[in-house]
Amino acid sequence: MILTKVASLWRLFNRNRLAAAGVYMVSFLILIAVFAPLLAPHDAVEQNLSRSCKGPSLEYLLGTDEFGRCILSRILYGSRISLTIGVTSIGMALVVGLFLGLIAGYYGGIVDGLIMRIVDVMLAFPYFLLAIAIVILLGPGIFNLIITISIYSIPTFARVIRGLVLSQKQREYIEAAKAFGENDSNIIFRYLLPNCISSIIVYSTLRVGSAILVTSILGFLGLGITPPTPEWGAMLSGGRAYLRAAPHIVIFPGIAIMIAVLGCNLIGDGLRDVLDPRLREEVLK
Amino acid sequence: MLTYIAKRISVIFPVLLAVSLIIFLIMHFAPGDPAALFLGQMVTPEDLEKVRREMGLDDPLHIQYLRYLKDAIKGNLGISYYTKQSVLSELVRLFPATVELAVASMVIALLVGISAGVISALKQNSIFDNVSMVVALGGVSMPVFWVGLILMWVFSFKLGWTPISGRLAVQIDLKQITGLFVIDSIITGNIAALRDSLRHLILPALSLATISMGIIARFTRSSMLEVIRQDYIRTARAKGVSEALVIFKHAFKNALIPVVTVVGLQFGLLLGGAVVTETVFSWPGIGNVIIVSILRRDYPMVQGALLLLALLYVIINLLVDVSYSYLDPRIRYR
Repeated sequence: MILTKVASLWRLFNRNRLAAAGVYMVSFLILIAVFAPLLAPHDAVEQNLSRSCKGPSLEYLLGTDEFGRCILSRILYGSRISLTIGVTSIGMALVVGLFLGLIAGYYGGIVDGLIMRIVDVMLAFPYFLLAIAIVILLGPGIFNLIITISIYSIPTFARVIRGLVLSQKQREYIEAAKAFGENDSNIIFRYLLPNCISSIIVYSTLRVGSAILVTSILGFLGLGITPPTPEWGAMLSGGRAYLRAAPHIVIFPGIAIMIAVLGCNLIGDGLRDVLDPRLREEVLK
Repeated sequence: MLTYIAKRISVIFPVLLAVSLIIFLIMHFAPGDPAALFLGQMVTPEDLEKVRREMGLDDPLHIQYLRYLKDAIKGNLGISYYTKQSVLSELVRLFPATVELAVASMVIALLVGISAGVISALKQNSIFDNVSMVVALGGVSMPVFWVGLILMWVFSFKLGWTPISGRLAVQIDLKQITGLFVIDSIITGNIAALRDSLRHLILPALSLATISMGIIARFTRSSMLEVIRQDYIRTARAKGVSEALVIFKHAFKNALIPVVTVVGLQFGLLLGGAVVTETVFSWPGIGNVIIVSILRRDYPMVQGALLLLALLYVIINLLVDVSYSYLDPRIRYR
């Protein structure tokens, strides 16, 4: 029953060529991340200054960076970092945001007011400046970055989910469930949540893309993952000084970031068209 | 209308208060002893103790916060650990650079985004539509710093058309009035300075504009598509109004209303993105100073700069809300 539904959604989804392209991009990255040790032609951290800043060649397909490390290998390993941070931070933000959004939307009143005021304050920081502030406190490192990006993502999740709950709360089926004497947790988890879940999936997919982007921005600014760990943003930052002579150090990691973010965005857009056309405006904000 | 504005303004104060508290707490618990950071290396424990007392670091936390708040309201944001100058005067000096960059990016994003969106909507499913929507999606997905570096590689290193950093060549003299170099050189009629400042401005502004450009284009397109299917457009056509007039007078004006809200939100992206773009192009603005100061652990500077950007963002959002309610009176009664 569920399988046929998924199959028919997949057919609908696959008709959208851009969305299918997104699926290929992301699957490609996942494969790369899983098999990085097998695929990487060279060591990703071993330095050798005698071959630094070499352009693409047969031995080093994407060239070497300023420390003579193989850029292809570093990009392959870097996909593990980006995907791990993107998925886990958004997973955590989703759990917390779901909890906050559901109780704020469902109960309303003081709880709602309190949660939404906190959300307002966190959203008063333009773009990722909240993430910058948190990273100052926590310091660099993968674990801290996951925490940082998930805290940064919580307010928008809470706000979107609250909005979804509000739009469902007045529907007849909720009234009916109440009239049957269902308790609150049953109404929330068995009635409200299943009706919001498709929008939540769409939104989460789009957020994974932006989490990967913010990870790379923080890495580029020298506040995220620290060297020698191969992180795409940090790789770009290292290559900056050699831009004139060795642009490949900057070009390739940037393309990797773009594939990851674009892939997530395309999947998210495609899912939205299939599952939930209403969400369009909400997400663009 | 006035009550609406008053209501919106009354909401910002608690938000800003809470923002200042968050920033204060983060900087307070950030690693490093402020007194030691202020004095730098090679200090005696006695000096450290003395400065700690002078800075009031031994006071309870809430006293320190209230003192910070009181000072901030009076315009005193503390002294930079690094330059030993007043943070406020440093920020005032850097502020016009960020405004110039953000406004220039916004102008580019609006011009390109809106025209691409309108044309895509009018020629729906044409090649132009498909290409520009894919490009728009790419623009949203590209890291700003990467776009900046690629532009720099092409236009500065390969073609040699633009400088790689700063706002104005050293040898050019410009009398500063507003601090916005493009405006200043127009006011003073300084053609050399105008050309040079534009040359410096174009790449940072263009790279910062990429994200917003894509979002505005996509949003304008969907808004325009919705509008041209409305009854009043059919009515206008039926009346025999010329097609150009239908598009520009009837459709375009109404399609722009929802675009205004995204434009407001784009300013948040621009202010945040400015941190990255200014770092790439060594643009001497607020964003650049935040990163430089974090790496120097110059916390008063970071604190002041973050507070300024948050304040600016909140005010811009207020203005957008107000203008939106002016454009679409239905909002006010919700």
